[in-house]
Amino acid sequence: MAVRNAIFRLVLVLFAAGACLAPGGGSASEGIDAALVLLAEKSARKRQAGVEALAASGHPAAAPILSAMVDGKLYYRKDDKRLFVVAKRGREFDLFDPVAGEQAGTAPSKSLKKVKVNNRLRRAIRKALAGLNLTHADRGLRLEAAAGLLKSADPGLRPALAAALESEADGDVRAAVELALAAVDIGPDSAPPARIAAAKRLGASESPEARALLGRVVGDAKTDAAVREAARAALQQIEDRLELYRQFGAVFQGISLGSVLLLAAVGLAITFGVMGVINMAHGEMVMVGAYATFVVQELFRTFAPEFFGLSLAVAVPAAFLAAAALGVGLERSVIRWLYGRPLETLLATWGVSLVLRQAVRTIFGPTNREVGSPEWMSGAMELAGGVAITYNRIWIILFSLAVLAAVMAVIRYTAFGLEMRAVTQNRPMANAMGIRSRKVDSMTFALGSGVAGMAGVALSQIDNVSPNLGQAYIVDSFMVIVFGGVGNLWGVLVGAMSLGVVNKFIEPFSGAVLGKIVILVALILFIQRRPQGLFAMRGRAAEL
Amino acid sequence: MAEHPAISNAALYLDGITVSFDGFRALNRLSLYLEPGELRAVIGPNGAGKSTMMDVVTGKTRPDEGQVLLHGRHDLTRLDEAAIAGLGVGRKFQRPTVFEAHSVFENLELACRADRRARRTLFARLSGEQRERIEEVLDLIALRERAGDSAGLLSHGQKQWLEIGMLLVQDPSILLIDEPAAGMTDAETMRTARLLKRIAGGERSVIVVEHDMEFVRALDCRVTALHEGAMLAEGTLDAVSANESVIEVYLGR
Amino acid sequence: MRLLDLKGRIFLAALAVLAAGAALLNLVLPEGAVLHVPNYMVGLIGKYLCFALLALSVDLVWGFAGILSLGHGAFFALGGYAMGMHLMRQIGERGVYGHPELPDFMVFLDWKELPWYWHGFDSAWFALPMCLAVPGALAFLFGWLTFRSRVTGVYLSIISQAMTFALMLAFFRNDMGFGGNNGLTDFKDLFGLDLKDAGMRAGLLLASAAALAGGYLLCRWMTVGKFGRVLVAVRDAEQRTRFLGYRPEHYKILAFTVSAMMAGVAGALYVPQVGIINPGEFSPANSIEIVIWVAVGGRGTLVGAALGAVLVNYAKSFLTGAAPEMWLFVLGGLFVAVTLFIPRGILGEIPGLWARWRDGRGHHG
Repeated sequence: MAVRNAIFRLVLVLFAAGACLAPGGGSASEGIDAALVLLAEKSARKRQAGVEALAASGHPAAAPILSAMVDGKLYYRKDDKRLFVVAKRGREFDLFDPVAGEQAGTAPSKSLKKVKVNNRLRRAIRKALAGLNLTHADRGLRLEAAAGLLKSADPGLRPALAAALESEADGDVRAAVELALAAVDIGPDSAPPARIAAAKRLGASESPEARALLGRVVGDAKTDAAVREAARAALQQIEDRLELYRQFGAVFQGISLGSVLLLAAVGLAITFGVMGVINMAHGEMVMVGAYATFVVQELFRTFAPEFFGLSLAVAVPAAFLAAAALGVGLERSVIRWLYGRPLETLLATWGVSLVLRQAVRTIFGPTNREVGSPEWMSGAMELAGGVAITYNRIWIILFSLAVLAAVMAVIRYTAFGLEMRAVTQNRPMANAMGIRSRKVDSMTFALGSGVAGMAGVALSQIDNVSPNLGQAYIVDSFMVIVFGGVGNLWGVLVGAMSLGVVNKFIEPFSGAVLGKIVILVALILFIQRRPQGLFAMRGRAAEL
Repeated sequence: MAEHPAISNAALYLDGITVSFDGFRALNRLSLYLEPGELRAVIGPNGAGKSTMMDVVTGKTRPDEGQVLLHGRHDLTRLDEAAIAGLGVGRKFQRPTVFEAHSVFENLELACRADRRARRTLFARLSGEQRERIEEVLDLIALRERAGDSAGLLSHGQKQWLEIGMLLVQDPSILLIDEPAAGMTDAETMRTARLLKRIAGGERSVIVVEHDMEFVRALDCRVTALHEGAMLAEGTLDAVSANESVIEVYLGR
Repeated sequence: MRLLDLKGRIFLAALAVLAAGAALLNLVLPEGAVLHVPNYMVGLIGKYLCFALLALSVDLVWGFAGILSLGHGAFFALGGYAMGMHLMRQIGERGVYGHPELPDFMVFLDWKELPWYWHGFDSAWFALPMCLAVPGALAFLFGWLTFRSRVTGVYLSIISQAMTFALMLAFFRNDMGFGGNNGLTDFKDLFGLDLKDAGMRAGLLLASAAALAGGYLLCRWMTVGKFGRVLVAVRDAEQRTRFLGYRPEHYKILAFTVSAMMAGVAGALYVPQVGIINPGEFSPANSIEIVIWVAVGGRGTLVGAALGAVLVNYAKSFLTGAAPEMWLFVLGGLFVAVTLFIPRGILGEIPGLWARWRDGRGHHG
C-alpha cells in the first residue's frame, strides 16, 4: 500500500515537473535542459524551481551540477546563458559541459557570470542533493544522504525515499532510508495508521532526531491519541535502550578502572600475601614503571622513530626489570631487617616512597611527562547512544588479565612458585627442606615490584606520568586487597573488578569524589562483616 | 531435645559439635560430658581435634552444629571469648603466653578476679584481698622471688607455671589446659601433675590435653581418646589403652 | 608506678620554663632587646607544642595499645575545623562581602543561608566542646566499627588511612560547606581579642603549653594504672587478654576516642596560631608524618613523642628554608633510619645506652 502510494506520488511529481518546466514536453534529456535554462534565470524563485526540477529528473548529471552550484563553480555565459561548470585558472576559466562533463574550451572570466545561490536556495540544493544521493553508487554517500533526510524529515522527499527503498539492496542503507521515511511519515500530514507505524519504526533507532520527532508528537496535544500513545511507547523504548547502553558503558568503564586497580594490586597482593609486608612504596614501583616507559619512548624517538609502534612492547619488560631491580634493592637493604614487624615495615617503606618521589622529581622534573600511544592503541569504538569504547582501555583490560594469568602460572607451575607457596605456608618447614627462604623473599619481592612496574606501563597510557602517579592508586589498591582478602589472587581479581564497577555506577549519582567516599565507607562497613576479606582463609589452630 | 537429668548437673556438656574448615571436618559430632570437680585427660594424635575442641569451648571458634552447655545453663556457642571467660572458663595454651612486657606480679594482677570493664578498670585499685590471693599463688607456683621481674625474662618452665598461676587467681570453674608438660623436665612434669590434681575437685573441673602418656598416667583420671574429630574411647587409662581401635590409630601397634 | 616520675617532672618543668619564658620575654622586653623573643617565634613555639600534643595522642594508641593509626591527622583537622568555624563566625560583618551572617566563601558561592551544621558555632560555649566532641565521635564510630570486628595491625592502619583520605576528598568539595580548597582563613579575633595582638599570641602559647601538660598527665594517668597494663597486654597478646575475660575492643575504643579528642584539642589550638585550616591537613601523608615524630622520640614513652614532634618539626622548618628539595630526602631517610637503627626511638634507647656506658666505665675503671 505504502509502496504503491509512493510510486504514485513519484509519478505525479515527475509529471508535474515535466508539465510545467518543459513546455515542449518530450524526452528526459529535454526535461533537464529546461531545468538548466531555469538555473540561469535572474529570479531566485525560478532558479529554485530549476533546482527542484533537476532533482526530480533523477538524471545522473543532476547531482554533480547541484554540487557545483553550491560550491560556486556553476557559471553561465552572458551572451547565450549557456551553463558551464568551470575550473578557475586565473582570468581564464576552463569550461565543462554540465551534462556531458566534457571540456568545452576556455573563456575569459569576464564573459561568464556565476549562478547565485542564496541561503534558501542552498537549503533546497542540499535537500535535493540528499534525495539524489540516495541512489548514488557510493554506499557511504547513500548512508549520509539518508541520515541527512532523517534530520530534515521533508515530506517533499518522500517519493525519492520510497523509490530509493525500492531499489536499495544494502541492509544498512535500507534501514537508514526506512528511518528517514518514518521521520517523514510521522509528520502531521500522514494518516494516523501510517504515523503509528512510523512511530514504531523510529522506536528502533537511538538517534537524537528520532527522539526529537517522537517527542514533538508526544508533546502535541492536538495529535490523535493512538498516535501519541504509540509515540510515547516508542520514546520509552528508546530511553530504555539508551539506559541499557549507558549501563553497559558504565560496566565497561568500571572494568577498565578495575583492570587498572588489578594491575596495581596484584603486585601488592604478592608482597603482602606471601611476606606479610605492606609496601607503602608499591605505588612508586608503578611510577618507576611509567617513567621507564617514558625513557624507552624517548630512546625510540631519538634513535628509531620508525619503530615507535613497538616502544610499548619494549617498555613492558624494561619497566618490569627496572621496578624488579628496585624491589630487590629495597628488600635487601630495608625490608629484610624488618620481617615480623609489619608496622615498622610500613613506616620504613613509606620513607622509601618519599625518597623515590623526590628523586624522580629531581631527575625528571616535577611536571607531567608525555608518554605517547602507538597507533594501534589509539582511537575508539563508537557505540550507539554516545557510548565510546577506547581501544587503549580494551588493551589495558586484556593486558591486566594477561598479567594476572602470567602471575598465576608462575606461582602454580614453576619451581620458584612452588618454593614461594612453601615459604608462605610454613617458613620453618620450608627452610628445613632446603629452600632458601631469604632468596625466595627477594625473588617474591622482585616479582611483586616488577608487576607493579608493568602496571606503570599501562597507567602511562591513560594517566599523567608525574612523580605522584603512584600515590593516586595506592589507597585504592590497598582497598582492593582488604576487600578481596590477603594472599588470594582470585580475590584480588574480584575485589578490583567489583570496586571498579561499583565506583563507576555510583559516580553518575554522586560525582566522582563522593563516589569514592561512599566506597571507602562501604568498605569500612564491609570489613565489619568480614574482617578477613571476601576470600578469607580459615585456619584451624589457635593463633596467639 | 529430650533433657537428660544428668545434663543439668554437668559442669560442661558438649553436644554433637561439628566444625569444618573448607570441607575438612575438624570435629565430627563430638559429644563430651564433664562432671563438676572432675579431672579429665584428652588424648589423641595430631589433628584429632583437641585444639579445635578447646577453641569451641572458649569461644574462639563457632561450631557449625551442636551446643556447649556450661553448668546446664549457658550455651557457650552463643558467647564470645570474654563472656565465656567471665563465666569462669579459663584456658592455658600449649605455648606459654604470658604478657612479657609486664612483671610476674602484674601478670597475676591482670588475671585476678575483678571487674573487667574498661571504664571500671580505669579507676581500679588492687584490694587487699586480691593482693593476698596473688601472694598465695606466687608461693604456689614458686615465683615469689621473681615477682618484680618482667615475665619475658622467665624460663620456659617458669612461664608455664606463671600461666597456671594466672589461671588460679582467675579462679575458674572449668580449666582447659593444653599440653602443660611440653618442654618441661621430668621433675617439673610430675610437680605439674600433682598441682593439677590438687586444683581439680570441689566445684572446679579440669580438662587436660596431653601427648605425654607418663604424665596422663600420673594424673590418674578418666581419659577420652579423640580421633578425626570424634570420640574413639573413654574410660580409665588402662581401659582406653587396651581398646583395639585406640591401639590401631594412636599407640600405633 | 607513680603518676609523675623523674622524666615526667623534668618534662613538665622544661615545658613551663619554655612557655612562660617565651611569653614573658616577648611581652615584657622591648623589641630589639637582646633577649626579646620575636612574635613569629612565639607562634612557632605554640605550633610546635600543638604538634607535641598531637604526637602524644598518637603515642597513647600506638605506643600502648599497638594501634598504628594513620588517620590521626583527621582528628587534628576536625578539631581545627571546629575552631575555624567559630573563628569564621566571629568575623561577622567584617568579611570582604560584609555579610552579617554568612562567611565570605558562602557569599561567593551564592549561598543564601547558613547550613544547619554551622549553627551554634558563633558561641564559644558550643564551638569549644565541639573541638573535642566531633573528633571523639568520629573516633568512637571508627573504633566501634573496626575494633569490634577485630581489625588489627596493618589492616587497621590502612583503613584509618582510607578514613582520612575520604575526609580529605570530602572537605575539598565546595558544596560540603567548609570552604573547599581554600579552607577557612582570614580570622580576625577570638573571645573578642585580636588574633594578631601580642598578648593574644602569648596567651595561645600558654594555652597550648597547658593543654600539652594536661594531655601528658591524662596519658600518664591512663597508662600507669591497671588500665594501661591491660592496654599493653592487648598490644602484645590481644587474644590472650580475651581468654582472661577482657574485651580488648572496649579498651581500644576508649583509648582511641580519648586520643582523638586530644588530637582535636591540638588542632583547635593550632588553627588560631597559624591562621588557616584547609583540607590538606587531612592528607594521608600528614598523618603518617605524625607517626614518625613518635617513632623518632620513642614510642610508648610519652615524653619522647612530644620531644620527637618538636625535633622533627624544627628540622623541617630549618630545612624547608635552607634546602627545600632536601627535606623529603631527609624525612624519608628518617623513616628508614629510625625503624632500622633506633626502633625504640631516642628516649627508648637512652636507658640501654646509659647502662652500656656505665658498664663500659666499670670495666675500664
